Amino acid sequence: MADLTRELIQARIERALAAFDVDVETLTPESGLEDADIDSLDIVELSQILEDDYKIDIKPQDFQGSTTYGDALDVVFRRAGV
Amino acid sequence: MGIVLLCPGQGQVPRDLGDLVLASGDDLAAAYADKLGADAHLDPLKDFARAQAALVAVGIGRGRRALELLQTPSVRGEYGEVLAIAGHSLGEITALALGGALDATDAVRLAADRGRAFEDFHSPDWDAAGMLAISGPTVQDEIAALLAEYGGELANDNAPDQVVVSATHEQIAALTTEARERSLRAVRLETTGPGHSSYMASIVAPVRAAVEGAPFHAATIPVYSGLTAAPFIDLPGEVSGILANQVRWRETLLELATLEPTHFLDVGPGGAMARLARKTVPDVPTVTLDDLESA
Repeated sequence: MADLTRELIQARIERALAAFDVDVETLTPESGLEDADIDSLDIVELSQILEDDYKIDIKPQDFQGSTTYGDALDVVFRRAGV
Repeated sequence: MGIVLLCPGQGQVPRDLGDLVLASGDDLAAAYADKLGADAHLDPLKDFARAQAALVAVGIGRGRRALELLQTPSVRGEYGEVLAIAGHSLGEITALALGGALDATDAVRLAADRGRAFEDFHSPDWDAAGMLAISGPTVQDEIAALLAEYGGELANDNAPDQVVVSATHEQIAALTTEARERSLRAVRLETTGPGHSSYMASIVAPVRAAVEGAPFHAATIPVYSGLTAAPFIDLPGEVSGILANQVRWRETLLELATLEPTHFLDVGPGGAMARLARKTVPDVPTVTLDDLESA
């Protein structure tokens, strides 16, 4: 597996979000998760995708307290150690 | 004009389940405590018996309130009579109680017995298996081929765009990868085991015995079975049989739609039943208990 980078992870997340019908074109770090139509089920699936594809040990509860897309990305980067 | 009530199963467990049990009605809370202990409401998720009894007690409490409201002239004027009731999986016990086929307190006890069977007759096979929700606009066209190729059993046919599969962990990993390759969504579920599949064969007989021991009456409102997608005929056979068979929820909703309801009521808690109904029968609007309260 290629070395994990923030860019690689973010690209995978945005590919997943696009499949969840989230408008990733307009997504910014300041976007609210709710405003972007990212719900708790999306977070569960996203966590499983990151675990499956990159072996990142991350659980939906890790995102508790994340209100923006940037918050959520920070959680993932921290758990991935990048 | 009329309304159909939909009762959820274990898909959405409220965090304040214990408090909701106590608020579900004196008789329900008493039946719960009588069967499981006075402290059981403090930690209703401690075991399957508590959890299943709690969910049924809460569902019946909410459903009874809905039926009460539907007797008042203003609410009845807006929503009409209750045409039928259906429940998803465990929610069938809630539905049978609301339909008058089972006393509410007996329903809570039966749910506890059902939950206990999951512990007493736990099969080691369950530990190597689980459930996977697969969704997407083409899932109904693709699921048969996916299961033929990678294994697993269709456990819930929930909506035109959502099914749930029971399978071994290895099969789930392969199905997940392939589903995502096909632009389908795949989410592993946290469950008590590979439900509604042949893995559950060991609990059918004990649950059937529990159902046979429960005093049933003729239903006053038609109650639909997820096993047959038709009104219940053989209560012990159907309530126990669905444990090892697919929940035909999409087909059940389509059958209920032939009654020409003007609304579906998601008894709740949670909004899962409303979401599945909107996807399957988009022409019929969904309402919640809160909508009835404010009518």
